[in-house]
Amino acid sequence: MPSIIDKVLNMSELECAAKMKENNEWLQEKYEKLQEKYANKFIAIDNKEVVAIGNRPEELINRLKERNIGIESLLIEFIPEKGLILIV
Amino acid sequence: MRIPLNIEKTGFVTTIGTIRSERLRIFKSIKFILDTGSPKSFLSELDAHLLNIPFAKLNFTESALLGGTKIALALIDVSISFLDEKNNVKKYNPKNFYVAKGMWTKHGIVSATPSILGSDFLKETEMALYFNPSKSIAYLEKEENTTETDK
Repeated sequence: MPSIIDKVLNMSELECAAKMKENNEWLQEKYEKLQEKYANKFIAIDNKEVVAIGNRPEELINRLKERNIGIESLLIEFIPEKGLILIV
Repeated sequence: MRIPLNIEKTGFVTTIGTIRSERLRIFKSIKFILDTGSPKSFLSELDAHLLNIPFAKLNFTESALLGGTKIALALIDVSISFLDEKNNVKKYNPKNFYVAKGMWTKHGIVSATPSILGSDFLKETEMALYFNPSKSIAYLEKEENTTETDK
């Protein structure tokens, strides 16, 4: 019987990227509302909903691992407060 | 062949790439920031932790300063796939793709540096960037006589 990892590895690139794209489109569409609610937090989005929140990346990772959420098309994003510009 | 890019609310130009490595047993779609100011392409520490990439087994041979954050870089062997404008999967096997790790962060703290596609990736894949922010148009383009795998 295939393991969860094997099942994930058998997913197609098209399927996974398409889901991720949907999550990102949802993020862009709801950005202002999410900014009001989750300013300066790291959020994880799956199936077009916020599934975990953390003040720091490691807090978010731990929450996701505790809840055993599939990560293959999970979108992780830092939401800056309004007026805060991110520069890399 | 064109790979569409997103101009996000943050102003970042991004694309979604799906990384796969049978050896590391990893598979995940990643949002990359396209940063022509970065000479290196890498997977963020946060994404690498989510994928359970074993940091202790990686060989961090290079370092870089990124917006005041010092990061260490280790080469990893992965394929990265993108969807073109017709939703065809375009797969690349970059020779130089790294995992990043914060060097000034305390033990147990994960650097918030994002995953980056830098100028090395564009050079290696022979892709050109078209970016017109006033018209909200951005894409990567490659001439069709490619030798890369079309899936």
